[in-house]
Amino acid sequence: MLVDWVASLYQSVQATFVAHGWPLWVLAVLTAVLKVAGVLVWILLNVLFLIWLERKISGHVQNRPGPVYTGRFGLLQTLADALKVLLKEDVIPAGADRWVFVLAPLVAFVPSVMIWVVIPFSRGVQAQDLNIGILYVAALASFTVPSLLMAGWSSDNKWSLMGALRSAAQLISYEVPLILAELGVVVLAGSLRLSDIIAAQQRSVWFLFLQPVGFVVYFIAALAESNRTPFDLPEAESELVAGFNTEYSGFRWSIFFLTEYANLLGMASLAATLFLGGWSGPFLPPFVWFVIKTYFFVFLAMWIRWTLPRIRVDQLMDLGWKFLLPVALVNLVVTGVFVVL
Amino acid sequence: MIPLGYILGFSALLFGLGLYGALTRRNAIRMVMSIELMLNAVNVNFLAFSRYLNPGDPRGSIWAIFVMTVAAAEVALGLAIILMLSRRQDDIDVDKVHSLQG
Amino acid sequence: MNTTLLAFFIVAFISLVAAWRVITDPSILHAGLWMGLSFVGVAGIFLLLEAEFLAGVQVLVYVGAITTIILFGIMLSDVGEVRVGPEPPGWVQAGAAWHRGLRHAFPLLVAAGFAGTMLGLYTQSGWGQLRERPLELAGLSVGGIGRELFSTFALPFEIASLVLLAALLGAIVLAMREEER
Repeated sequence: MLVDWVASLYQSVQATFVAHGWPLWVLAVLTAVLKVAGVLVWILLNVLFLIWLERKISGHVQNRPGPVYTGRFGLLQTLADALKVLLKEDVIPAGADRWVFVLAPLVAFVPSVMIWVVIPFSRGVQAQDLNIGILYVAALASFTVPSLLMAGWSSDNKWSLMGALRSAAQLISYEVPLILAELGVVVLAGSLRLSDIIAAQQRSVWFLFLQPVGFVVYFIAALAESNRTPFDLPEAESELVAGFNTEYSGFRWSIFFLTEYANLLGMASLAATLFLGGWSGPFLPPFVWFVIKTYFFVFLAMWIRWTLPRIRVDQLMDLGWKFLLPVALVNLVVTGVFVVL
Repeated sequence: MIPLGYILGFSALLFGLGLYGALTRRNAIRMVMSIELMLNAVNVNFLAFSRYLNPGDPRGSIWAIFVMTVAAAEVALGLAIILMLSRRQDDIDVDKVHSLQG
Repeated sequence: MNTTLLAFFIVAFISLVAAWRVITDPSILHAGLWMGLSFVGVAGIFLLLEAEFLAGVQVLVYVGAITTIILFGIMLSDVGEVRVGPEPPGWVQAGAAWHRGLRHAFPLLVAAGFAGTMLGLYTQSGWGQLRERPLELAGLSVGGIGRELFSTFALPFEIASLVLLAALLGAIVLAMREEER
């Protein structure tokens, strides 16, 4: 309904542009800006909610109420925290590599927003339906490692550097099984385009049932990619102070924090799209389905974070290279054979 | 539309910069980086020719993908060698690596 | 001037400046980061040539793997820079002692000379006539690349995978410490 209204609005605006002879690239730029603004608002609102949700869930897992004072159910807690963080002094260490230090949070944040260009929110509601959808997401995710290395190196602090190196090793190790698990879905759907993948799931069943192994591999690897417990070694407070963002404070630190939750949300929505059929579902409007499925994964990730202990570095590497990678490869081969037959 | 000559000029400039770096820099890591720049320029050429001479043909992309494979293998090996050098003699100046010379 | 051409100039300029900084930046780590930027610029060129798949692979391989490995290598080897700054040949140093800027400009001059020579060669050959021919809008489909890769190029593809495997094993063996062998 809303979608149709927006589409008709776009049609009429386009007609106005053509009628007045205004250049069409202005319209293109205008739509692009509006899409970016929409995506940004979506991410910021969700991140505000996610942080509150995480604190509530952690509270209830640990048998305490979590934030309660600011607003109803403590809903305004994140807003208050955000204001506090923004008002703090923004320190750049004296020994820091200034430009790299300043750029690192941006290099981390921008790709995590750009991922949302291809995520389908609902039928036809997608900023741009790229034909390389999943590859695009994987390519953007690869910016994370350089950004962490930049942050760790430029801080001129051994904890930061150790955290960055650990984190980079972890992300590289888990990127391989992650992409292999995504490839299983791609082989089944026969396309990299996310809307095609959803259409393929509408024709058959959710890929969760056709790719159970791939799904488990994807989910574990995605948890590791978003640096969450049990894989939060890069920022293991008890060992490394705060990992790569030890020296970051105020606004820049909040950008890293924002990135972390934006990545979590991105991973969850991608999982929903790849394995649970995205926005498709009966009775409820597509967008509601999309939100429900995404938040299902978000909740799962938070639940796991607050119930499992952190694993050791050697266990982390063993799990990635000696378990997930072979399993993902076998899964891919079996899927390929299945599709050919 | 971009004239083919512009793209070829771009890739030739990129290749020239990489060539200069690979020939004049004695830091092993910087040499590896320069070589990567050259390989990138080669990829641009492959793709440009394939897109302009025979637009629907995927072969230009395929050759570029092979070049990337080789580049990745080369960087992995090169960095392993550089790491070993830096452990053995605390220096990665390629002119000082002559322990294999007779 | 149309937007594609404008975009091409911007992307090419960024990529070339980054490439120039790779060989002239005094800090080796900054050089590595500039290299990453240059790779992203080349991916932009691929996008302008309407090869989205290759652009994605370019970012994935060059930014995600190669830049990361090189940054890792820099941080692990911890040797910093050997012989800081560029060293042009003796005749340039003699002539340019009065002008330090030329030391940084020299790579650009060499590259420009090389590019000029190459473009001259291109125009000598039959490709010269292609200068004005616009890019036809026949999209490169991912499926087409895949089919060609696994039929005509199946053997090279397998050999490439063997090369990667050999490189992987070689890198592991080389990087092992002596006592671990």
